[in-house]
Amino acid sequence: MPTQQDVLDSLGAAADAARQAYMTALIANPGADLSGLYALEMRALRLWTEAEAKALRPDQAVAQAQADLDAQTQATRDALRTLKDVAAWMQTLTSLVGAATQAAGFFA
Amino acid sequence: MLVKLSPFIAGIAALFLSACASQTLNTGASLAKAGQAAAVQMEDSVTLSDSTLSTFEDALAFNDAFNNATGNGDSKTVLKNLRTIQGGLRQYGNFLDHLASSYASLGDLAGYDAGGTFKNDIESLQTAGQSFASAVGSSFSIPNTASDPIKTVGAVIISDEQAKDVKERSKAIEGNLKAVIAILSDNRVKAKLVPVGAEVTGQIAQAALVLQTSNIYALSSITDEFGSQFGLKSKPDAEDIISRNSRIQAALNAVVARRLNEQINAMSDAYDNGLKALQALIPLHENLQKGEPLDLTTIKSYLDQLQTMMKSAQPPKGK
Repeated sequence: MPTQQDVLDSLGAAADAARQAYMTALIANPGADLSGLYALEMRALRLWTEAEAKALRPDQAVAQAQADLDAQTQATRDALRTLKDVAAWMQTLTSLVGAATQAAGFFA
Repeated sequence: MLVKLSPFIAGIAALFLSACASQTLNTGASLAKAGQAAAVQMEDSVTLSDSTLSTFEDALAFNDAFNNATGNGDSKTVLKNLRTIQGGLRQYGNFLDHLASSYASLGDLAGYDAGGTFKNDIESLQTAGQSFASAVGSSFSIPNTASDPIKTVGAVIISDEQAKDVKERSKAIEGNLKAVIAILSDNRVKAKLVPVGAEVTGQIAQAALVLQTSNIYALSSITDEFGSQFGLKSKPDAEDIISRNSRIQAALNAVVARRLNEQINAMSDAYDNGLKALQALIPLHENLQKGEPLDLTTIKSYLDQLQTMMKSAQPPKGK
């Protein structure tokens, strides 16, 4: 029993073969009327696009991967923000030490 | 506590710690750049841009009209379905876009000069303090024995903290990267994604071939390619000669058809190559987390190949 994927593969192969047939005929017969071949090619292409459009319906695994990535990006941005906060904290501490050093100068 | 460290000890400690942190931050920035490039290029290979879809629509209109099939129902349905397919592909494009964003944020984290910012802050503080003291007729000074260790050790502490963050973020992104690779390595996913580009490029190639067989394009560039390695060059009237010689014309048409087919097949190769580039990021994450230098040769090679493939496989943008 063929799977949905097997059917999609076969439809893709059919559309591809129909286009190849048209192009090969065109090379062999430049200027000839190939509208009959073209009609068949378009029919094959339509059948594949219908199956492909259905096959590309939202995938839960993809949605989950995207949510995980979003969380990851946010975590990385948070790390950068925290890092900047540490720098600010160190600056405050340094100001304090500077002020203390200056105050200590009065007792020199 | 910090002010009690002598400048000498602080300097030695700083040299050691800052070397470790600096290597992690540099490799983190390199990994972020390579990861972002790989994700963006893979995104290009699995999505259908508006400009490509527009070129496809033009090609289909041309092919319909050339074959006396303007307005036929099959082509109309194909166009409608292609827009639905473009939307379906977007979910894959989006999550690769989000992977690229993760790498961009890792690059921001690794590239932020926290230590340098801290040092500058201290120097600004001294300058501001001196200006203020001067304005009020007093004096302000942080003795060198106090300010230098604070500047040096403080900057190292912050850089070390930053390097640890980069390693942690790298590990987390590596986990997500593996999930992305698992999805894209699934043959069912590949089978859904690869044919779209090939079919779209195929219709555009077909229009080009129709024009080619109608003598629209110049072919002397091909005859020049054959002859150039032997010092031969096409004559000024080469195009006229080709158009009058059906056998030569048919042979050159075959060359053009072969090249068009090669570009159609390149869509599949681009997918495989993009996947290899993403896979090549895994050992780079591992090296970064172990504190080892990165060898970017493999991923650069995949990215270069991918860039060349995508350039040749996609119609020009900016219509």
